Amino acid sequence: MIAAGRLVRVKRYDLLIEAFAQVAAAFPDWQLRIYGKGEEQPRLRQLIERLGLWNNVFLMGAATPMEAEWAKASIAAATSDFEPFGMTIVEAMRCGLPVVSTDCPYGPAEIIKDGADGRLVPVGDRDALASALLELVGDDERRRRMGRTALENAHRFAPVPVVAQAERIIDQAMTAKNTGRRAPGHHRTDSQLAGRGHAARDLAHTAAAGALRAIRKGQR
Amino acid sequence: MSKHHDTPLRTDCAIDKDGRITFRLPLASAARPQLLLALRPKKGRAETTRHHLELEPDPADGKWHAVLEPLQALDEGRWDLYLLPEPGAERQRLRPGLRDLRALVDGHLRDRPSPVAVRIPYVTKDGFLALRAWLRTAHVEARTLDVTDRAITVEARLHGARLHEDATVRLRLRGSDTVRSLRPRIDEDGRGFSFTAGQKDLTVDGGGAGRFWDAFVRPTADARPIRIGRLLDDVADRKHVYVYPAMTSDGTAARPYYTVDNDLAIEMT
Repeated sequence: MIAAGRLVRVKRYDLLIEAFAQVAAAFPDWQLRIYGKGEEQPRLRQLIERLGLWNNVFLMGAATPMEAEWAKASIAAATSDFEPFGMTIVEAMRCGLPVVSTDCPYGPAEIIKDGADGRLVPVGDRDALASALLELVGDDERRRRMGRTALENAHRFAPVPVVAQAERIIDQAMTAKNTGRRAPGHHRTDSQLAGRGHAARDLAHTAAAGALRAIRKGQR
Repeated sequence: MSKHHDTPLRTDCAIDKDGRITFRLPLASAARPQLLLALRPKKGRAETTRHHLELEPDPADGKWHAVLEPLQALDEGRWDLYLLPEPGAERQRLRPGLRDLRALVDGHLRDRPSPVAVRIPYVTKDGFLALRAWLRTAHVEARTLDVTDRAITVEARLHGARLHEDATVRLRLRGSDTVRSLRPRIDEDGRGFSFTAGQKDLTVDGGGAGRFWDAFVRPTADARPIRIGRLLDDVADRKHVYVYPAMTSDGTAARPYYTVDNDLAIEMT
């Protein structure tokens, strides 16, 4: 199974590694590959050693393009405490992988249909995560079926353009906040995204609105 | 060194489970284009070893493709890839597109006959497509490593030869004639085995800091030693990815690691 993203605290790769210990104990042939670089690398390395998982868990470094790496996996995992967009989740689904993710604000629940194309587990819950992973590892047929569903469902997300739009909106809001100018309102969001398809617009709108809320509350 | 055109030409490649590599690239039009594979020479030496592959247009997707067959053995080392748009033209180094290496991921599960030939497409540090090749009469693939404060245990499998009852594991101290011999525990099939190196097997006269042990297997007495490494998957450079703890005792540490050639060694600090 594969996880990908910057190696930073909020992504909670420590949680994933601890949950994976239960998977490796039951299925020693399974590997967890974590792609990405970041400040958490030394701590994650220590955790792998402490749990004796050096034969199963690998910190792969950065990889582009990720599509070629997703293609080698049968399950994708995301364990963030906070994930405004979930681009990697969509990317993995477009490669036909069922995604097991924490149900964190704001992205995953907008994207994953629990039980159909992936699994959603409570934030920070190592044992629930381990259970969900074990379920998919142990049931080849279910895993493949959910992977096919993931591939179909991923088609409703237009790729880069929609998310790039949303990111630009966030950038504008951040700039406005920092310089004291007014941020663009929701109306402009709608008209910028018109014609891109309902579900894709919904995703970007929700993600942008959620992130704007977070910025206004000063959480970002 | 010849100047390279900075071509945005991106070459896709895919490898199948037999090791056949198919390259695909979009060419506007070309007169007898070829792919050139050149073995990267050692520093200061000239390039001497090259292979040419014919590029043919594929009507299905409008791209040109070339195939490196499994039986076309490549010498061990790093191979750079170029496009020769036509005979005698200046060569252009290839940039990577998609690398489909799925077929390599479980490669260790298949026994290989002699000679063991491995090719893994990879991307160089400066962003070009290249091939890493190994070619060995026989090969020992290391799998799981166990490290405690008393011992390092390695599980491995021999490809291209069989282990006899008098097989030995040889740890050779790099840059010296010192060799330690260990008895392996051999599986019934004569291919799988494991061995354990303890503190006393790794002691070095005068302290070991900065020394390295390279690991080999002799399938029978007086047979040529076979290097132990890990080659049979999709990872071309595993030195910083397959990382192990150290066996520490009495102020010295022995840490197993993979060299830049994916060979198994033990570093003493």
